[in-house]
Formats: sequence, structure tokens, C-alpha cells
Amino acid sequence: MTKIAIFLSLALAGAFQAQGDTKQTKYVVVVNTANACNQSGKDAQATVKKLFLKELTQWPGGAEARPYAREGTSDEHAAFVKLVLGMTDAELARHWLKMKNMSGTTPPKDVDTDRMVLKHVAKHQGAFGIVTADAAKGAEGVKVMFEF
Amino acid sequence: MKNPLTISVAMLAVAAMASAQEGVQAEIDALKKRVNELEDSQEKNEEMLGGRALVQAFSARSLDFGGHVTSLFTYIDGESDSEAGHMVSLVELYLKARIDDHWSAFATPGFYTFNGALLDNPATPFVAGDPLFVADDISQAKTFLSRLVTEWRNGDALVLRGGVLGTPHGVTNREYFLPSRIVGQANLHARYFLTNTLYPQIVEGASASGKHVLGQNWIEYDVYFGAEDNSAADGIGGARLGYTLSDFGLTVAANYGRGTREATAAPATNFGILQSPFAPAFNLGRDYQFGGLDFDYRKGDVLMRSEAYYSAEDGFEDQRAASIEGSWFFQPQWSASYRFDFYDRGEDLNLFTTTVLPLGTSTEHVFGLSYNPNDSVRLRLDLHHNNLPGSDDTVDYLNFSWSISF
Repeated sequence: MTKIAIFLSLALAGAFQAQGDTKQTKYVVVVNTANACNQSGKDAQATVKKLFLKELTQWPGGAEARPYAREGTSDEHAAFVKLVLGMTDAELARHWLKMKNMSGTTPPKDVDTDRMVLKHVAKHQGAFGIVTADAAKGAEGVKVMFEF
Repeated sequence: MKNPLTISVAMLAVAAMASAQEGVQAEIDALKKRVNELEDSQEKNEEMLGGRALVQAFSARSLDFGGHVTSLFTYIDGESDSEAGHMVSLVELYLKARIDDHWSAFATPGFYTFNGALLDNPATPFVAGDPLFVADDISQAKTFLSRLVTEWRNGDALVLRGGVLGTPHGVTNREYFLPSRIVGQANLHARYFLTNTLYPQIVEGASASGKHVLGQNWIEYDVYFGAEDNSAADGIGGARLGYTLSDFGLTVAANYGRGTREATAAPATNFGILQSPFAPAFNLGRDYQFGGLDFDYRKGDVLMRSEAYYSAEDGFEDQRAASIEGSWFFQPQWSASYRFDFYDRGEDLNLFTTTVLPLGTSTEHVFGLSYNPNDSVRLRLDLHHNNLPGSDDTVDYLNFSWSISF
């Protein structure tokens, strides 16, 4: 009886573990707590897309936008490009080539870690960046604009 | 009874200690993770900097430095003869200094060397289709300055610029620098670098531009006024008003401009070079007014660009031009393109007859293939089929070019 109970417990634990493994990591775009933009959902995504691509340089309300990117090989970058920008990496590269050749505009700076993104965003009013949803929990000086 | 109680208390104490130890362990693990991240970051920085000296800007908040190197080789096949060789190589350096939230400067000093690459030898007017290379600047790199911009930005709605500026006309001209081009050669009416054959491509003067956001879309405007480098006293001016449908990836724009075309100082050497069927300048000066429409569509793997312009030339036949270009990125690194150009050059003084004659109309079909092995390198192979103006003669040319951005 005891052996059966142990077997069932292990099987159940295994099932939960497997479920945990398939669960997708959630990412969020964080902004400085002083950011006055109160958009959410699709509108917020559209605004962040334009600011990240530097098609616009100001938040609604006038603050200068300061986007931070994640490393090109990171999961955060891949999810952001696909789900928020709605582009492929090749399309994004063509966009930055165009921006460089029209006005000398450079892509946002890459930041390696969630913690460093949170530091930068907490420090500058118009800053925003991409971190995992877990990393944003309880972080000081930032707020979540939307999840993806 | 006492023993079980003592045992229970002891067990609880052990559990509490174990739990506290787990908390400490978790804290140590988190600290270890952070130290690892810092070490990774330090390693990355050292990899980039090594023991080399750092460049510091004197007073700029940020200083971006880059540029591109581009070369173009060609094989030209006329009806009577053919030629193969090097047409142009150039390097342009990009310098952008940002002083504060409002002020910045952007300059692109360049060096180039080119050979004439004439589609038809003008010295043999009775021989149809005999291309020729004229060693115009061979082995002698010259300098040029396509952008020298001082900028004051009040926000997206108002940006003021002064210096040597790109004009806003034409979709290829707006993205002037060659690495952006999917087809190496510009369209027929903007083929010459930085010149004004139909509309000016650069202006020495000042401009105001900006964007006004309307929901997800925006209106963009550009207004400029100044002079051209060959005619400092003749004012030129123009404007562009565009509307961008952001989600759809489409921008449409209307353009207007006016000015004076200065007559060339050397009519005897004013003939078509750089694979243009028309000369870079006019033998007789005149005033002009032009209007035009352009559209730019970029969505996913498809890029479509088109422009159509009309220029009223005071005292001469008017000019008309149109160009449509489509590219399909069938692989992330590969694209196939087609472009059609039409250019009616109006009329000008003919030096042989000493009368004013129509310069004719030229059309061109371009089939292009480009390969981008990485984000900074673009290789192009373009086949052009050109109908020369004022005749039934055609000329084909195959251009191989590359651009490396850095």
C-alpha cells in the first residue's frame, strides 16, 4: 500500500513537473514609475513598437523615449521581435539599415540581464525595456506596461 | 509525556533551523547568480575594449562613428561593342554627435573614385551602342560631402536642420546612402550622385520637418530652402507632405519644389556617364517647378517603392519621370527585385546643331538579386535593359556591387 502511494505521488509530481516545463515564460515591458503614459493593451504595444524602432522619439505626454534592447541571441529579444514588433530578425535588420542611412539613427543599446534593464529603466524617466515577468515583480522604480 | 514534548520541540527547532538554512542558501544562490552575471558582463566589456585606448568625445553626450564601403563593377553590352570594368568605389564615414536632448550634428565625409561608364560613346554618333569607359577619376580618390547637418530637435513635431541636407524628394533619394539600396544603381532620374536633374537631391540651406501622430498613424512634413553647390545665389525650395499608415507599412507623399537650373560651365564634357543615358547638367539654364508623388510599402518580406514626378521647365519642354521597384525577400538573406524606370528628359541646347532639341525618353527594366550574408554586408547582381533615348537602340548591363556597413 505504501509502495503504491509513493509510486502515485512520484507520478503526480512528474506530471506537474512536465506541465511546468511546457509553460511558456512570460515577458513584460517595464517603464519608469514616473512615466505618465497610461496606455495599455494593444495601444501600449503599438506605442512601444514605434518608440523602440525610433520612428517616434517621444512618449505621449512629451517625455523623451529611451529604449533598451536585449541581446540578439536572447529569448527576451526573440519574443519581443515576434510578438510586439511583429517582425522577423531580417526585417528588423533592414529597418535599422534604413534608419542609419536616412539619419544616422542607431538601434537601442543591448542590455545583458534583467537586473541591468531594471536599473536603467528605474534611473531614466523615458526608459523602457524587456524583462521576464518574474524579474519585474517587486522591482523598485519601475512598473509593468504590458505583458506578452 | 515530557519526552515526546521535548522531542517535538527539538524537531521543530531542527525544522526551523533547516528552513533558515534553506533561506540562507537561496540568498547565497541568488548572490552567486548575480556575481556570475557581473563577471559575464565584465568579460564582455573586456572583450570589446581589451587593453586599447578609449576614444572620448570632447563635449558630446554620445558620439556614433561608422560608415560604409561600396564598390560597383559592370559589364556593358551595346549593339556594336561591349565593355567591362570598374565603375565606382567609395567610402563614406558617418559621424553623429549628440550634445544634449536638443542639439546634435551628423556629417558624412566621403572619398570616391570612378570611371565614366558611358552607355554610348558620344564621339561616335553614327555608331549605335558602343559603350566606353572614360578614366574620369581613375586612381585619384576625390572627396565629397553628402551630409553636414546641425540639428535642433524640439520633439517629434519640430526638427530644424541646417547645413548640407538631403532633400525629402523621391524614395531612393530619401534613403540616399548606398547600403540601403537593393538595386545598386539609382533610378534614371536620380542616377547621378547628389545632382539636380529633375529634383534636387541635396541642398545647402535649412529645413524644418516633423511628425504629427494621429492614433496609430502619422503625418510627416518637410520644408526646405537654400541653394545648390554650383549656384550659391539662386534660391531653391521645396516641401513634402506624407501620411504613414503604420500598421499597413505604407507611406504616401506629395512633393513640390522650385528653383533655377544653372547652365553647365563645360558643355563640351557634358555627356551621360555613370550608366546614365542623359548628361548630369543642362547646357542652358532655366527656372523650374516640379511636383510629384511617392509611395513606400514595407511589410514582411515585401518592399515596394514608387515615385512619379513632373517638372515644368521655363522656356523648354517639360520633364517627366516615373519609377516603380518591388523586392521580395524569399529567404531572410536573399531577395529578388524588379524595377521599371521611365524618364523623359525634356529638351536642351544640342552642341552639334546649336539648336534646342528634345533630349528624348529612356526606359529601363532592372532584374536584381541581392544576398545579405549578415546584417552589415549586401552583395547585388543587377541586370539592366535600357532603351536609349532618341533611338531604337538598347543596351544591357550587368552590375555586380557590394556594400559593407560598419
